[in-house]
Amino acid sequence: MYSETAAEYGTDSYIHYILDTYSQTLIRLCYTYVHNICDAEDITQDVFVALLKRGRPFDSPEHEKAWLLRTAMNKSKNHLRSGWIKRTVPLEENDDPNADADTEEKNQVMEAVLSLPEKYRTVIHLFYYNGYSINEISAIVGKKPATVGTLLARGRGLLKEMMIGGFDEDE
Amino acid sequence: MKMSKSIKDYKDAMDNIKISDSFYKRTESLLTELPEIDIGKKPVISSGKITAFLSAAAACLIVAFGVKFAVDRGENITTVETEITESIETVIVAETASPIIESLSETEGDEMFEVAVNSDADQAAPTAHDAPAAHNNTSDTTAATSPTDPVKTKPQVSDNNAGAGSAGKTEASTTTTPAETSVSAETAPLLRDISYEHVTVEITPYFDMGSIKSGENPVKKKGEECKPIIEFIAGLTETSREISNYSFTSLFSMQIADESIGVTFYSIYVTDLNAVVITKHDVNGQVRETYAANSSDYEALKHILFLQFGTEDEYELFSSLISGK
Repeated sequence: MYSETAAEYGTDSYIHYILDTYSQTLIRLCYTYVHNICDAEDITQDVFVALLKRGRPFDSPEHEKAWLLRTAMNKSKNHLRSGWIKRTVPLEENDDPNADADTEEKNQVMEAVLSLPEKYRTVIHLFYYNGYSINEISAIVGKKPATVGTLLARGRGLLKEMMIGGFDEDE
Repeated sequence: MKMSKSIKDYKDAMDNIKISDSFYKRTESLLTELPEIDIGKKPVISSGKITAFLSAAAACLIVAFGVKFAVDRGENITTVETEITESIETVIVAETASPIIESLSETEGDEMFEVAVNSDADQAAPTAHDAPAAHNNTSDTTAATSPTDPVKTKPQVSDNNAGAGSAGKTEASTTTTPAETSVSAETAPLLRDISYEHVTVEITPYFDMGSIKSGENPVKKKGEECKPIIEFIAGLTETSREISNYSFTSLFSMQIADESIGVTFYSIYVTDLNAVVITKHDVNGQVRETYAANSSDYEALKHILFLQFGTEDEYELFSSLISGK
């Protein structure tokens, strides 16, 4: 146990802790790979199962987070490589008839980010959506901080080219 | 006039993705009902403290083992250690004489994964699909004809010259690689999806120690016997990060094949520096990925593989010699 609030590894409390703390983050990260919520949820479940099967606690919360995110990325990539995915065609996403122009524009941005190559997409998502620092992202994806910075810059450049009217980093 | 897009739009769109209401409950049930036998019962050497203790104890074992050798054979301790050291040094020299392979490998870089992504799903990166495939084929072709790349050369010694001893290494450049003979019309299954009905795993050591000779007497496992090793490797690929360093020395190789169709799907090299190299061979070409295993997983894998050839007592010596080079 590495903090007073973290539950003991392997207990029911620990299961609730990891579900509460990491479910949203992992599902959304997996979504950037597989582009559908059902597969993202399934992969996230596999990550949690792998976590319990690992059989030993982590040295720190940062170590735990990096391990979970990296495992989610790897399992998502494996999912995309599986024979099942290559042989199936996804159902068309139903357009929400109640979507307004604002929602559609936001979806355009998300589609643009999701269409980026994986190496740019992942760092963009971790940096802007999850708010991780470059050093944290470096530990998660296993690349040097300078490389992460370069990937972020190039990813932003690609997004600017894709977006009509430009792309602002400022909120 | 369209609003300019901002990262806030991305955040909002992501937040609007609806996670199913049942996810939490289903996952909670799944995790709480996991059989106890599945939780934390992997046969691994679990902590750095145990490894540190073994390293400290290894020093005493080296002295005891050396004295035993000297008493049994009438040789001095220095001679035994020199013999083992020389065989390892030979491997290292060969490893550094392959700058061409290293430079080609570096250019593959992070685009390795792009080879397998469905191009229909990722329209922004069409060029990434072709380049790594070309690089993979180029580098592997070069590796097949270069006698100085131990990662490719060593399997040739075991597959084609078993029992030929050191003479097998000089013939490596003229023989075909496992990669070339195993190109097939089949798609390699993921490690997790392998059917154990026809699978074989051939394990070959690449070091000399006592009765263990580099590249000789590989151990072949079939069917369910392969499961612990394959599942361990599969777990390692899911939890370890990929790296792009290709300078290392092989300790063991594993060829995973389907006996019923005579095709080798995976060549796996367990190397020094905690690295595991996995090359997949199938109709899509060859894809090589290198993983940096954490210390405990790496030690456990080395342990499992060494015990195919040596005893528990000999493992202590092997481990300390490898880590001490």
